Amino acid sequence: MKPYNRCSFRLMLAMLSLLIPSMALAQPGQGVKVTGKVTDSNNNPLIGASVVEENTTNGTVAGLDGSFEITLGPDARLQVSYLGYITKTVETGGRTNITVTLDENAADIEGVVVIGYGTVAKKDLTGSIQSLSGSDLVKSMNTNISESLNGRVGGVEVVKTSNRPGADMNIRIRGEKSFNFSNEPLYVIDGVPSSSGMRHLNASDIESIDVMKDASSGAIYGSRGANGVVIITTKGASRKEGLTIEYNGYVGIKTPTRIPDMIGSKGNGMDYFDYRVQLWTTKYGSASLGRSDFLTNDEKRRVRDGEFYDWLREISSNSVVTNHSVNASGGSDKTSYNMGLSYTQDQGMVGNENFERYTVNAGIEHRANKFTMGLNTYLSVNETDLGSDEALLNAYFLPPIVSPYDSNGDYLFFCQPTSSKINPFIQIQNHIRQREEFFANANAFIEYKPIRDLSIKTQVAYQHTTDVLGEWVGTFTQAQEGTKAPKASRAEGRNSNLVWDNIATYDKTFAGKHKLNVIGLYSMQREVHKGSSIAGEGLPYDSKWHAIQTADEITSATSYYWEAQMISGMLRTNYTYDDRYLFTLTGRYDGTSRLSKSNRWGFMPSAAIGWQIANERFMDNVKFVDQLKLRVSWGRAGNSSVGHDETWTKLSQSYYVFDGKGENGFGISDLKGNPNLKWEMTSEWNAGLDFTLLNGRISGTLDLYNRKTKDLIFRRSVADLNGYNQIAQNIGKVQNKGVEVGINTVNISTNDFSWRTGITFSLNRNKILSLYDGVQEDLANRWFVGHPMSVYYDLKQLGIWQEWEEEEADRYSAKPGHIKIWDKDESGTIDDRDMHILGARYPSWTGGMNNTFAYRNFDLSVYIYARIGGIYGDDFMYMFTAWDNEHWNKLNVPYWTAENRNNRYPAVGSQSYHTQVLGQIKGSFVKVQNITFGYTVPTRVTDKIGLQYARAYLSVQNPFTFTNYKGPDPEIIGEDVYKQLSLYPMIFSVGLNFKF
Amino acid sequence: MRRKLLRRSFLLIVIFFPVIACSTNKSNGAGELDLEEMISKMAEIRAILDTATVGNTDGTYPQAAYDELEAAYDELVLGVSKAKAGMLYLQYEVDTYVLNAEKAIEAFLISLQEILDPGTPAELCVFGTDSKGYIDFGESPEFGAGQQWTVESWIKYDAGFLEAAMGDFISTFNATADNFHEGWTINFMGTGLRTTIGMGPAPGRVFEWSGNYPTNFGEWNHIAAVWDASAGSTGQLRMYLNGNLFWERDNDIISGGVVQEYVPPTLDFRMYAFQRPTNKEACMTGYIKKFRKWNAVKSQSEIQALMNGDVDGTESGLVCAWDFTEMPDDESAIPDKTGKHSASIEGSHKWFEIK
Repeated sequence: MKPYNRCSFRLMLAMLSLLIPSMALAQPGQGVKVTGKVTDSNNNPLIGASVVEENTTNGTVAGLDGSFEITLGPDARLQVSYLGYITKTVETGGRTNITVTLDENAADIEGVVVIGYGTVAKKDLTGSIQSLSGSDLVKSMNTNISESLNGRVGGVEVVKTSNRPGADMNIRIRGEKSFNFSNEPLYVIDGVPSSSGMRHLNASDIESIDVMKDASSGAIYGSRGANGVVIITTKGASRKEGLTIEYNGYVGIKTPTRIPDMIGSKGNGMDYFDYRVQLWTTKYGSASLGRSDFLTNDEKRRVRDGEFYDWLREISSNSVVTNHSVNASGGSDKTSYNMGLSYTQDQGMVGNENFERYTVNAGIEHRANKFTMGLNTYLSVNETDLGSDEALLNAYFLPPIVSPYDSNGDYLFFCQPTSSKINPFIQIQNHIRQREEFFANANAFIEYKPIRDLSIKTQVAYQHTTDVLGEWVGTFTQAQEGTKAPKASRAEGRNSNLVWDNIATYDKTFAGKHKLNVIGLYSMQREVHKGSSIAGEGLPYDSKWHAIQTADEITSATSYYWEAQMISGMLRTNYTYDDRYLFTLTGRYDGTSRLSKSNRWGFMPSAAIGWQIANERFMDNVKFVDQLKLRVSWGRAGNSSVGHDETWTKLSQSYYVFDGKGENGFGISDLKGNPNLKWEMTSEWNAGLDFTLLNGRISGTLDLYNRKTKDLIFRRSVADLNGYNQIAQNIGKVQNKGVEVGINTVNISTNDFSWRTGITFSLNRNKILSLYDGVQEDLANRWFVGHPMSVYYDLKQLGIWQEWEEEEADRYSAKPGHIKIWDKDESGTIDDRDMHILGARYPSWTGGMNNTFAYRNFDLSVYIYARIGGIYGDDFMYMFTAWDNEHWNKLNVPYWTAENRNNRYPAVGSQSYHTQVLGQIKGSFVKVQNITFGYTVPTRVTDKIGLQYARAYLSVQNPFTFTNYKGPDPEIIGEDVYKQLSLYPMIFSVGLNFKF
Repeated sequence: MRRKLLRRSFLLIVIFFPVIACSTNKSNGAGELDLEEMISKMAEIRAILDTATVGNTDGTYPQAAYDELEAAYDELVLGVSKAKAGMLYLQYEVDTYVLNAEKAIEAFLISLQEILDPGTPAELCVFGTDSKGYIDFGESPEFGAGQQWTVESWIKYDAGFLEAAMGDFISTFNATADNFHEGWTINFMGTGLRTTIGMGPAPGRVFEWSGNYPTNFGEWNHIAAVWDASAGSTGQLRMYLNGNLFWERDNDIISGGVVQEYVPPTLDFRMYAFQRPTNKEACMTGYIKKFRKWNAVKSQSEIQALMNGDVDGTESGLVCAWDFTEMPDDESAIPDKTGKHSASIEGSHKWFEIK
């Protein structure tokens, strides 16, 4: 018998044992009595797990606490199985007490997936939805849980804007679709549609994240589902009896890694001096070295004495990352509850950068006869110190022959008298930006079951967010140059979102083969947004942004208010025949106030079929296939994130001085409203294959999709004849098609050792199918039919002109050492006509791989993320390789010389044209993002001290990065160098997780 | 003969100084200073001073030039003292003293007087390097005005004519306090011969392009810059070199989606040669002969004709025209051919008789 046949047989036995949990199988007459416990990897007891002596019918099942007792023959082996977990065979080795820990089967066919307004068994799923459990999020140890989706959920790309604490991240699911409006997915947090992302959520508070990727799944959210839907379910009230308290926490040291190599760093200041001489000699001639501003006396002294200052390493420091969360849950058969508290701090490595988050969540549910009612709340307070704008930037610019201190050891303001760059330490002290945010999410429901298979539920959810952003720019800052009086600004926003969902669910199985699930929804939503901002210059006191009224001049004062409503009706039918054929039909009808009356209603249907091939009789003899499901779906969803006022023609305000007095005036704005605007609408075909092979050893998912988005809203420029020069119109069409693969394997699984691997692969190809009026290209916006929406359109660098090409270079007004550009039109000159599409600003593919090794109580996991392809514009590389400022520093890369030729970086001081090409950066990288080594305390120890579970672990994040990028982090190529420039952190953490 | 020798020796010094500096394996940086060349130059200057004849006649040196060389000598002596006292830290400082001494020697030797009578055919060299000399063409809104114009002139220079980051040959260019750029300049930067014009209404915008400047040192070149705002996409800004198209460029200066336009001077109407009117750091040394500004677009064939022809000042569209081809009556008031303007040669310069 082949091994998988044996496994299959044992699984069947295990299932049988579950069906009769109280029944012990055949009892042997003689043998050794063995006791033990069956748990999952979190030490939760697996009640009803099957424990069978191998190759016999002798067996039992685990009790309520996971314990078992069995009498075995000599040299017997135990086979332990549980649905949704990998079956394990255990050598008893003469032991009489054995704890067996079963690993979760990633392809758990009985798992449940949240599909919006309900759940469905994973085996009955017809759409493309991928789930990430709360424990996966905790293990990834990311402060912003958005980042955990990268490489772990196929088709999702998380775009980081910076490595500063609390920085925003954008999520793209299956590519970009909209030119002018948000491509961010819809977030649904405990039933409340939200646009505030996930930054405020703590990983330990999350039960699961379900990502709806295809339009047929997203169609359930109708006009908001086109960009995908991320459903976040927090740990609400569970149905576990008793009380469980769980602690999760870690403390980490964050240290900068991959600090860019600036000329003269790490004490090699003479390299910088030689560079300075080379630069000045080349640029201005040898005589320029005699100029007083070539080197100040202090700079000369430093060169002579070898006193060099490594600005990047001095301005950065190690910092602390810590997270602590406590969750308590419990209840009885009627009432259950949950409560959680968490604190997170993520200190920055430069200046005052810092992010702190406090969360409180609580849930209660009560079940009484035909009624169930519950309440969930989630509160989060976030305080972010965004850090100083240009401090790190100045630290990059300032050369090692300059010190921040004067002879008394005090900070200098202009530490380099010949340069405009001020001392970054002073900048840190005097430029302060802080953001305070508050998120509140609450929902309450009552569910009534008038008959056994029908439930009627009404749920009211309310989300409220506030944010205050304050900025203080003191006199001694780069902006105020040490002379201008301080300025400050304060901006405040309040957003509320009220949703009332009424849901009727009919769920019934007829004649054992016909499973029907019908959900009807009537929903109303109202969102309100309001805020104000004020800014002033010339503040007399160091009052931050708390006394702007004392400013010499109030430079701006604004306020706003807007609201939008939506009414929706939805009907979804899931029908399964004989666990083989699956059908889903969904229709949603949405009406939004964002569009005019004639266009505000839209119908978004979807349909999906699934075929459980493995359940067919002709598959009975194909034993290595546990599960094989084919899915095909089509759906249509909208993008209603169009501005609330996009259809309006508004008056714009102007300020005039009339007769010596200031007067407000109003005139037509540049943008003419278009009442005929419709939703941007996405339709998508998706074909998928889910499989589980070799008794769960290999499982995976393959998805192919082709989505087209039409009626894209453009702001078209029009002749300025009527007082406006832009009008929004539905024109254009975009396609995204791609492949997603997810594979999980159990490579080795013995009682002592296991090795599991999870791999994801995503490939998306984006293409503009049409623009407007038959136009094939819109050069101003860099849009080209047949090419991706975001392309890099620029001159192409062929290399560097070499000495033997001097004559040819001269034709292009260039010299050896200058940048050599492709003369596309062979005109003999380089100009805009030589620009072409260099590539897309998207990766060619992304992938993630997680390997987990477990040996007895030790575990080791290694997570690798790869982003391959794509070309991006990077101000950092441009600024620090192209700029030849006579007083600043630049990156230590091999600049061209006659002796040291290269084909990328021009000669120092050569004043080459077309240096913008140095900002063209290929975005490929492979990161080992996380290595975690853990130890789980044996149950024999935890039992004695009253714990259910205890685990300690050591972790390192970002230990290795493989890339050609010379900047710090290839994942944030293109970050805003003036506002968000950041260093790349490596984090060493120690963590503890226990439960009692 | 002597002049040629001096010029060639200057050329050799300028070209090979960096090579020599590198090839002697002297570090630019810290270490024991090598004062040998410094002391040698000190002796050389002393010898020149001791043997030079100062006066106002042919074959003598002007007193001012003598004083300058003496000052250079004093500076060199001071430098040696500083070096020996440990006040010079780095070898490049010593090298700079040597280079300055060489320049002082060259400037002194070239000042050997040849008194020319007015009207004597001659070539004018303006020593603009270090902001020492320039030609002031006076002030006129006409110099920078118009959306169609041509500037054409003959220029000659030796290697080492440019010691600043950028040197203006002829310029009306200026930047206002609010960083608005106005006017035009024909200038040299790096290895490029450029035309730069101020653009607006957005601040800080210029339209410029360059080609590699000719390196036929010591030979005359005719250069012409043409601005034609109405030219569309056929090269609104063009340069011609010796009658051939040097480069052409369309106006691609866009700010906030608005195509910028050439902005003639509104505050400062001066026009200089060998120095920028509003920035004396943008300076260079060279020879100039015929120079004309037209408020019209000249075609290539017209420029070729002008290269080899003369104007009498009555031509349509001619804004100004000077011929620096003979010793003027008064160097501080050289009338142009239109009779509307007057130029003044300021600072260090010399007329070399054409024999």
